[in-house]
Amino acid sequence: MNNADSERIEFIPRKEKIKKMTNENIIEYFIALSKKRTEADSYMDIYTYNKIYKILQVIEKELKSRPGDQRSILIPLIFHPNLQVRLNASLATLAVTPDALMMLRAIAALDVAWEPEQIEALHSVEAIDEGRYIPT
Amino acid sequence: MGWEHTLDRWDPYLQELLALKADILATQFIVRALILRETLRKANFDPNQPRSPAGSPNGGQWTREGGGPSSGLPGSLPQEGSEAPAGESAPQRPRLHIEIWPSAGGPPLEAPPAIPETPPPGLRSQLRIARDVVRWLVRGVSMGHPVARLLGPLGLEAGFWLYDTYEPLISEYLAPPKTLAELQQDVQTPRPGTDVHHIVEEAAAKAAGFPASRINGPENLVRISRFRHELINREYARANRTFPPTLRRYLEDKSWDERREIGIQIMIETGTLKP
Repeated sequence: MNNADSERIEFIPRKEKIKKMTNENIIEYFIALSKKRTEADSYMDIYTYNKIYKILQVIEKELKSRPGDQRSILIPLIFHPNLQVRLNASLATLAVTPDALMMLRAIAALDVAWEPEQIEALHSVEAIDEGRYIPT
Repeated sequence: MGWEHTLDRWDPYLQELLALKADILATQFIVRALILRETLRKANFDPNQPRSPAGSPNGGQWTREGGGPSSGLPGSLPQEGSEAPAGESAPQRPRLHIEIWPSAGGPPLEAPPAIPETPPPGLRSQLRIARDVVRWLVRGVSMGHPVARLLGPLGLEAGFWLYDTYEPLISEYLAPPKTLAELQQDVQTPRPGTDVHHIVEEAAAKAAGFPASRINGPENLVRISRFRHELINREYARANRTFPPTLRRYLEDKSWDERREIGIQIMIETGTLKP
């Protein structure tokens, strides 16, 4: 393994492990995954980037399935300093708080074309506005 | 009620956003100034180097033909995945001291990317630093930090190897968007830090049976920044909810015109093409 490969990101708990996590642990894990996604993007490591996306979706489904729809525990992360955390938290909470869409619009309005978060937010907002994507 | 009518409760964040455009422009100016200063400092600086003629899109700017300030730069930058030119001796550089405006505070910012004094071995690691430097700087400014305060922790004073080797990548990344005609015309003139990009993705178009004459035709080719090229490729490959599972897969059964329309849109969104 060369030096560059040794810097590759390591993870990941399986679905069952996520099921056993407390809400607090999930919040921590959500933040850590989001930050790793930023790192993966820096390496243009699309495999890891997409793999984290899938885990984030598993987390979202798990929280939704918990009594009272626990996706609301991610709402404070909408205002996290890390832009990727903000983006992922906004996408995960679209169905539970109007603040999520507000933040997505704010991120989409950033005039920072090299920020992947800006482009992802822009595509999401467009899809919602055009009715192609309906958060549930 | 439209979303814009509820934005007043977002005042602090909106103010941050309103300041952003001006700050981004300031950042671009400063990074270019750093690059220019370092370029001028090079021992082989030639004031007689040819410049683009007045009236042309880059009128008055140095051209890379014929050597000059950029002649010490690699004519063809190494591709990621190839052997790295890294680990060579660290150049001795003067330190830059730039004060742009007084500190205005701002929200907390994550730790800056570390720029080692000598290039790390491995092209992949070097390119990562180059990408991170620009992104962190822009992100920091967007969060309200004065640029002068960002430059110190970034370690730009120690990071000149980055500019020596990757100046074309960084400056091309920061270049303003061009018209489609300009980008198509640029295909004929190779430049360090750029790639030829297929507006309708080459491999996917081949797989769909479109003729090579169309795929590699002048209408479908543009020359763009390599880092922005990476962004575009990432957009096609990124898993997402709106074009599931990925944009590349979503387009598999789409017509040439649909592929081209999306290709143009992504070039606009990544700051490559003028809207």
